[in-house]
Amino acid sequence: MPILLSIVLIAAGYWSFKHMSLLDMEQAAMLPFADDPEAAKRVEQETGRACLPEHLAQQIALQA
Amino acid sequence: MNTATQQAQAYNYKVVRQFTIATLIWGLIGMSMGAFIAAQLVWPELNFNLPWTSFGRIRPIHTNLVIFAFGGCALISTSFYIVQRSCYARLPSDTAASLFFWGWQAMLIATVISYALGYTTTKEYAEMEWPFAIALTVLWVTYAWLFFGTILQRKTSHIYVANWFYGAFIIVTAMVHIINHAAIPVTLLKSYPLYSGATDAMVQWWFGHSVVGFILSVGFLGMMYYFVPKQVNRPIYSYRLSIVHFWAIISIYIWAGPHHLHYTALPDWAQSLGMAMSIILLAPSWGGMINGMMTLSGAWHKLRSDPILRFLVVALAFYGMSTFEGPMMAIKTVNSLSHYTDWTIGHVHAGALGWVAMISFGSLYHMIPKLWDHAEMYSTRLINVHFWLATAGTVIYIAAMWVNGLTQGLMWRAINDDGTLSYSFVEVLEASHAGYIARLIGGSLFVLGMLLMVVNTWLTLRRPAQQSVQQHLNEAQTAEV
Repeated sequence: MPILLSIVLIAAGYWSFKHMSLLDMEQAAMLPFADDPEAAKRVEQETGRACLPEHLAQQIALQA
Repeated sequence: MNTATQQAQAYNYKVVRQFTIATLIWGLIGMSMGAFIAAQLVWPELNFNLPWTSFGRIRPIHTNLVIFAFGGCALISTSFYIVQRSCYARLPSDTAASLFFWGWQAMLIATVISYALGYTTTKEYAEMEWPFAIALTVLWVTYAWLFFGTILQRKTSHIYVANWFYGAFIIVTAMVHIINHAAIPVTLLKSYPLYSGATDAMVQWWFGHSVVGFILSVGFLGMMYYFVPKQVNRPIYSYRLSIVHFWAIISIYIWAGPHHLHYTALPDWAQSLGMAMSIILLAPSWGGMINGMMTLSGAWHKLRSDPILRFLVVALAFYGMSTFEGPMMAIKTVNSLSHYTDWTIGHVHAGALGWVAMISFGSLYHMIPKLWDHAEMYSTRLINVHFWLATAGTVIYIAAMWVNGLTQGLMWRAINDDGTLSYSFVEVLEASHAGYIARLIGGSLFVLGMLLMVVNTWLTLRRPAQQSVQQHLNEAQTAEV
């Protein structure tokens, strides 16, 4: 049973990678800033990385 | 309306605020209890010859309060904050959230009273008798529904990695709690475990180490993956590494329990397996620690002026240190010296004070102004004083316990030429006394820091919120026109 569980967990880890491109990961890493426009602006100024698509989602979520 | 106010309306911040306040109150009480029992070890007269004030009863009150009350409330408040903000979704039910908050507090108070009255299963971190264990299960299911329900309603395609860590913490805690508390009740407040002998011990320490692994490590790593990037204004160093970290740590942590039972009736193969898995655990633990630390790449200068960031980074340093020490202590030859000594207490507190409490302090200092719509905490200087008190307290505490542990281990194993023991137990106890005084000083400094945090939070909450200040300004401008 524990061995089977370990195989399942390793397979799940492999699945996570297989379904995420490097670009997806870059964008996912920006999620903590996406609902905080001021923080997102600071991150963009300091690192050059933006999270614009998620900003749009945040606005929709707040308006809903 | 500013963004913070919009968010307060869009998300359920009420329950987050409630759990945040509860974290501070329980933290102060739980840590004070710890300082009190540390004083009892220096001056045994403080037991007052009363059963309910004796060390044996207050010690589980201290451990349960700091783990499930302080740590639990910190994890619940931050998880609700993060899951809503990173999924752009509100918790599925405000009523259930409120019931969960009051239920959790009632359950904590009831268990603490039951321990003081002497009702206990005697299983470490699982002392609660069966009615409380059932209540906790029901509350935990509510928590799981609130958390995963929010994820199900998310408006983002991806689930941020911090939520994965919180999710694993919720699921595994439920699993080990239910299995370890399986018991046959004989009266309303007395039960006997379903398992017996070595099996019972193995189930208990499978649970015990999973509490360490999935509540005190995995849960707080979720906190780290959100608040370190937010405070440093940098995305996490490697998102890929965070995924490897997640799957590796949850696959391995569950196996490490047997290292608590070295040289016991547990089969030798199980002990060795526990030891091997504990050593392997070093890799994912350090992977996470390095990922957090490297997030500061190019921003290390911020540590000079930001005491909140200092809390978060020093927490990671202590996490790295205690997750190195743990696997070393799990090696059977090292364990033969360290087990049953104060070294173990030092190790636990390197993790509990240095990692769990410090990462919580940093996260709460970041979160509190946002929850109550303030630009920052009332006093940055007080945060700084808190940081140094907490750091000095932790270092004094663990150094005292290391010295005591090595002294005790070496004195216990010392034998004369004729094979008799060189030292009596009382002689070892006398040699430990100075360390107990140092531990009390370190612990008291830590409690003092916690008190400063409560005061700083109180002073922050007393100030008018940004939104109302802005309203006053607008009204004043209108009146002038």
